[in-house]
Amino acid sequence: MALFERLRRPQATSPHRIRLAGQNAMIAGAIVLAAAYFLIWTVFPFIYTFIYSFFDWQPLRPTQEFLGLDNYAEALFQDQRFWLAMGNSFEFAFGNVVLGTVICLLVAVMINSVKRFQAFFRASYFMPTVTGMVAVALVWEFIYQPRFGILNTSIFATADFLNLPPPPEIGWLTRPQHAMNSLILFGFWKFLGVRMIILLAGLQNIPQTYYEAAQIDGAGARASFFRITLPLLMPALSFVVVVGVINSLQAFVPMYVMTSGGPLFSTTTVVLLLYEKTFQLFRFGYGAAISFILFAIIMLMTFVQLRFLRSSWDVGA
Amino acid sequence: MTAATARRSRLRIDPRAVLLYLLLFIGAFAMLFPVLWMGMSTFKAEAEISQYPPSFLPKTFTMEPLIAAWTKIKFGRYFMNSLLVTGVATPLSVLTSAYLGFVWNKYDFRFKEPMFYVIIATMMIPGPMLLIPHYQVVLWANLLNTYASIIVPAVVTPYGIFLMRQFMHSVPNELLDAGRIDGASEPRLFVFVALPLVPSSLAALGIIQFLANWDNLLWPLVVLTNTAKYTLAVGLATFAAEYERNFAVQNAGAFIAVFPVVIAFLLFQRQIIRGIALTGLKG
Repeated sequence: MALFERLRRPQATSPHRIRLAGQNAMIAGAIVLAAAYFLIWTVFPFIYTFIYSFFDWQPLRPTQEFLGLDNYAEALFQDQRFWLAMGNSFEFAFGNVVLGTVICLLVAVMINSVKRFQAFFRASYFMPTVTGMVAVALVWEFIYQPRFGILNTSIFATADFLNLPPPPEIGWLTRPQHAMNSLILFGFWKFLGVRMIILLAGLQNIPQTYYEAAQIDGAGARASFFRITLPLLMPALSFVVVVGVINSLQAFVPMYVMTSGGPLFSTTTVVLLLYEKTFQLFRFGYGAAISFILFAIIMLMTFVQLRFLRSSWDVGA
Repeated sequence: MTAATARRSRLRIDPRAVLLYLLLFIGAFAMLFPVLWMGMSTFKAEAEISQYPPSFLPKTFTMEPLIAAWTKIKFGRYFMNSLLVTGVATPLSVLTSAYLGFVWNKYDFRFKEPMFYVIIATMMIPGPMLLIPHYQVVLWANLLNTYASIIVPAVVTPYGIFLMRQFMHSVPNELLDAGRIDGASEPRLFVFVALPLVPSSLAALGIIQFLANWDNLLWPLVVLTNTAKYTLAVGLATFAAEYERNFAVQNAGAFIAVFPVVIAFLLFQRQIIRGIALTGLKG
């Protein structure tokens, strides 16, 4: 216990606290637990991945060949699929965040302005969030099915009803030009609830008196929105955008379940590529290099956004 | 304004409000539809699922796809596995988060702040990045294909520690000091004074962790190869990927995964939504 006794700060920094020997055991336990977890599960794996991204690392071979920067060079300059996958990841993230944030803001403002059924709207827009991702991805695949999926059959039935010529079957997930958009629509549906709840909480934190004062000064609804609502909502909004970019660049389940990266590579994202290279082709070293490039890009994006949005966003607060 | 015009304006229906409600109801229907559609399709026979024109309510009510999913494709087994893994990992992770959050909020010790920043920084690392060394760790620990390989890593979460550290602010130091004067030990103060003061934060964190564990696909997919250990998410994903498509059974499997969570949500939706709004949530 002597070690932890020394680890403790001089008592003067917290005069209101009574020093008791029992605290040392509590602190020691917490540090041991945290250190064991984060060293074994985060710090060590992080360093390990970094080192092995310079090797031709294959798990079943006894010795690994040092490659220097070859893995990184292969991803950045030779592997065309890497850049295709990067493009797909960004397409998904862009669609998901732009469409998601703008419409979620609209929905949050609308729900915030109604007097009745607010709880009902909140609950129904939030519902998709609590459903398991794999399960609802399968349900959406079934909805998107070209022949008997409800989306296409509804279109056929509407055409029938209006006596129009039968429209062609739309391959929502089987056509390269539609597949990514269909996944973005699914992501929009799945994540709308969380974003809406955060924005709604932000909206309800804006004091009503600001709007009353603006009204007295003769501000219309549009001026109130752009001069009061939007600036004061910036922390919540930038939280939604930043977390949205981080999470959608890491999206895996929708592509894995609904399209397996197809058709014609149109929905293979970086994480899916990383998964394939590592756990199907067992090229651990190459996978590690790809994951470090992704990590660097996510860090850079997060940093740039935080600077650009100039928000009071505080990690997770 | 006279009394008559005031009454007239109260009776007048604002067309913009009507449009607002209309849009919101259409939106709510669109949000609920996929889940409702899944529920309806679960009780339809295979032939009815693919018929044209489609029907919303099942014409002939059948339990066949549900029974087939539960027995033949072992979704019953997967459900029990998911329940076990989630049921053990969730309360443990809430407890460790509360404990570490309490220590980091209420005690002073050297390197307290730097250690906390390291914990926060680990939240920025994308999950898939550490998949390979995590696999290696599990391989060395000889835990491949065990429930423990899924439960143990989920027992401590940086997000939970961060959240509980924030919420432990609301436990007054004076109350802890009063307890100390009465001779209560530190662990007793944590369990009997601090924990009872933050029940809604514990519940919110519990819900978030439950959903994360229940929904986890990538990690179990990597460490589980024995189908008897599959969780629902893994079972569903591999069923969809490997077998010749049977949409009725697949849909019934999705229903088994989603139905209990949706029911729990409907029962506790007020608390869940408040909890999520409170925490800002990840995801």
